Amino acid sequence: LKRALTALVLASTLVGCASGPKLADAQADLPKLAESQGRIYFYRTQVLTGLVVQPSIYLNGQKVADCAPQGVFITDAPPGDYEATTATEVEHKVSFSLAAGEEKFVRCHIGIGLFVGHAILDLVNADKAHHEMRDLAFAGRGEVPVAAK
Amino acid sequence: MLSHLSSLLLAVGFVGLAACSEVSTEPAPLLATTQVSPLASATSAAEHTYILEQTVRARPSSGRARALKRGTTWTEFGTITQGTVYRPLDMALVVEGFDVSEAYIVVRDGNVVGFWLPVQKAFDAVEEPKPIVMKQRGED
Repeated sequence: LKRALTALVLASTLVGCASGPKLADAQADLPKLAESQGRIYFYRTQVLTGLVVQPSIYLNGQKVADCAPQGVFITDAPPGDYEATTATEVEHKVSFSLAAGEEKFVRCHIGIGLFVGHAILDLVNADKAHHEMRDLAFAGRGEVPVAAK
Repeated sequence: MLSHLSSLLLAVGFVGLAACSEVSTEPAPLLATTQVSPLASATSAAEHTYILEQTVRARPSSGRARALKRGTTWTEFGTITQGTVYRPLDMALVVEGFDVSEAYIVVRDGNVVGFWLPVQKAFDAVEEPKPIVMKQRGED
């Protein structure tokens, strides 16, 4: 019974995590950032905490990523002002400005909620983000928003 | 028993939400810009780039103090009525109420007097101005 439970937990963990190559391996195949664009990384390092809570992340109202455990999503976008939002019981948002050639890093994590964990977005330093993302799976590229806010 | 527990949970939730204060700001449009593109040449960028000489802790209206760390790099971004705006180049600076907003610092007469929110184009004054010393990049 103990083995079965362990296997079940492991299986559910693997199913719940983002799948794909490591970001470091995938980056060589990513298109180079255009000079007229900026790049936004959305990532989540948590594995077990709030595993089943994986809300979508929106950029200026357009879905670009999921708050998926161990996953990184990348969105290239024109310079401008942006608001990234995600919601479970309540909506949480982070606003930032993006310049051409600039990279921004938004970390999503699941915190304590009343009935469902709250998804929280943070803006993270480049050095810290690169360190945290090094072993995460590249989960996909989001669509480029039509226009900056 | 269950209804008592539900009531307690709801009360805790409301208290938790109430604890997340709103950021108190005032409109502050940029009067002039000196911002340097991330793609600008090193020479051009250095003219407007500064290194923080000592760590400064400044507390915005939302109440949670931000540490502006010694050795971090800042670029002159522009001016607003309240002072000169500097954008961090190697740290993510935010002010937090219930939500999170990217922030730049506002300096006047050698003191950090507040934070400027680039998306909201708004000024968030610090509780108490704090002295700040920056040197231009490349200076000894």
